[in-house]
Amino acid sequence: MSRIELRELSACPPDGTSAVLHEISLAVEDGELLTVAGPSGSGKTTLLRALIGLADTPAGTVRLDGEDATDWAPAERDMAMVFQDHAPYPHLRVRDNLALPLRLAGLPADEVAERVREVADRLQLTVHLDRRPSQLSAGQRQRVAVGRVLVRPAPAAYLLDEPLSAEPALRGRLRAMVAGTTTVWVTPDVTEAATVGDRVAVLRDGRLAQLGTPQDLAERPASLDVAALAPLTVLPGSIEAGSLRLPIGTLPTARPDRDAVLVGIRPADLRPDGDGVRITLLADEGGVQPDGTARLRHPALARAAEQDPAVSPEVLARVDPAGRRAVPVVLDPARVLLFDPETGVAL
Amino acid sequence: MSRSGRLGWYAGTAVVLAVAVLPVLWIVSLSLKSPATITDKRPWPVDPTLENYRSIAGSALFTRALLNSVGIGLTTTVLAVALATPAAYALTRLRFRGEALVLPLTLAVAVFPPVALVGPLFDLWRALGLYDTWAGLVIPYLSFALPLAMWTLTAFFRGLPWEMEEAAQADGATPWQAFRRVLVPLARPGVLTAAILVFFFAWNDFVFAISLTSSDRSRTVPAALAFFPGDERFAQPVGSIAAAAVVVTVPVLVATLVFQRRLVAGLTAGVVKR
Repeated sequence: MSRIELRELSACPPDGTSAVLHEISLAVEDGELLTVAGPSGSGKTTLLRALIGLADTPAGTVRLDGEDATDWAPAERDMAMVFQDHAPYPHLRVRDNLALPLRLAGLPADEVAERVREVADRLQLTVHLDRRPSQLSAGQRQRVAVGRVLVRPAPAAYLLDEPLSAEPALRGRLRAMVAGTTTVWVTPDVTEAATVGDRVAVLRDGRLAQLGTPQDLAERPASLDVAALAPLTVLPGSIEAGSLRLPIGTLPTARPDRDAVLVGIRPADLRPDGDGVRITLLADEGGVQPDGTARLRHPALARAAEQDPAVSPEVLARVDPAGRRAVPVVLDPARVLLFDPETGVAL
Repeated sequence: MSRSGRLGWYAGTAVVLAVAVLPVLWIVSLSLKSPATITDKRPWPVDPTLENYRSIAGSALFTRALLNSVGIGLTTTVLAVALATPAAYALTRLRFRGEALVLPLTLAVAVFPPVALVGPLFDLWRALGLYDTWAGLVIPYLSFALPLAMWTLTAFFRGLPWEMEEAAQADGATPWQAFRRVLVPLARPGVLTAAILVFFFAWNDFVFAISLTSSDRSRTVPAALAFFPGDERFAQPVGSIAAAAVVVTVPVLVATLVFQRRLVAGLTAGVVKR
């Protein structure tokens, strides 16, 4: 277990000439689980590779428990990493795949066998122990890769790059298994990031867009990018003399005048009742679909799926299946998110 | 497939088989005939005998040639694989100036007609004292075997999952351990394929072997066949040559059958991008 600290770290992928991570500074506390979210190409994988020592780091430092580990080889850092698409070693049976890290560490044979048995049991791999990776399904192979990491006695940290993407049912179990050890867990899925992580780091174009608890990110997204990782209705607007003018109506605001703002409305903030500005949405023909969703739209917005306001489940529950078309909702003006249209930074 | 289509398929297969296999069977048959029946033109030996095999086994000409063939073949193979493996590794893994030229240039060397080299080599080897030595054959063999091995190995290495090297390092291996415990086992089939191809190339060569040797000292089996004495003056030693031909063909056949799947896999490595 270790505290990991990055100071203004820049990193390049193995083939790349230019850095894909720029001046990242963050700390993962001892025993903490940090999830790293972000769109593909945002540098998530390169961040893990820099942590374990497989990426070029032209600038900045990696510190392990306060020691400068920037130039340490992967083996010296003693971190255990699951690669995103690295299959198990094809020439080794599952048993030997799981045993390899322990044999490399020089553990006695009986302890190796014991730990392999234990991990195989927890990942439901026992019946596959004598198979070759080529005989396994994609999900089973991912479990072998995860097992190779969990089998290690006390790594400084677990680094997991989209672990068990083919086995979502086992993620909760994996969360429990890494609990207590410093862990960096990469996922493209924001919901997963918020559910699993103690804190979430959001990367965007190789920069740290925001770092905080899942609640922080949901309540106070630092930019439109972060906010848009969750369902969000984005509308153009302007502020004039205490009024926020939107295509769907006018909200009172205390903000200074601005010619143009982008306004983000979260589904949970379009409620069936309560204090706020009343807005009337229209249910699409057909009302509620069999899967419980309904398409609601606003007459002032174009009839396109991405323009349809996303609403809270409570509102959906109010939509009349028989087809009463007008659906009143209430929007609390204090809850809307405002962003600069040029930079996407929260206002 | 229609009935006539199937018939056509069988007929075509029969023709190909006949062309490929009949000469071999004919040689086997000849090698089992006694000197009296060797010219009887029958496809099978009337009175099969191992006399020809006993005769070549007792002939110093043949046993020494076999030793030369094995020795020169193995030396060529070991050297070619030992040099081509790091070369292919470098071509696969390192970026350097002129990298794109290396493989085409080696191919250019490999397609050079051996006959064009024989004359100059003959003079050069005599001047250097390499004429009629093992080294005198191993060196020209290497110039053809190295490109062959480099192409085979480069194609194979390109298909290797190099991420495994990183995975091993992440599992706590030093770079050397990652190479030893993960990459070498994965590369073994490719190295084996290259070794077999190179060995056969050296084993089967006739042009260099006949031109650059003059005695038992380094004459290989394909060349030695031409020097078998007849039973009498002017008599062709057909039976002995046939027996010797069978003896040198058998290892090739056996190795090909044993390693068939690996050879095909090794030869087609890199053909389809994974």
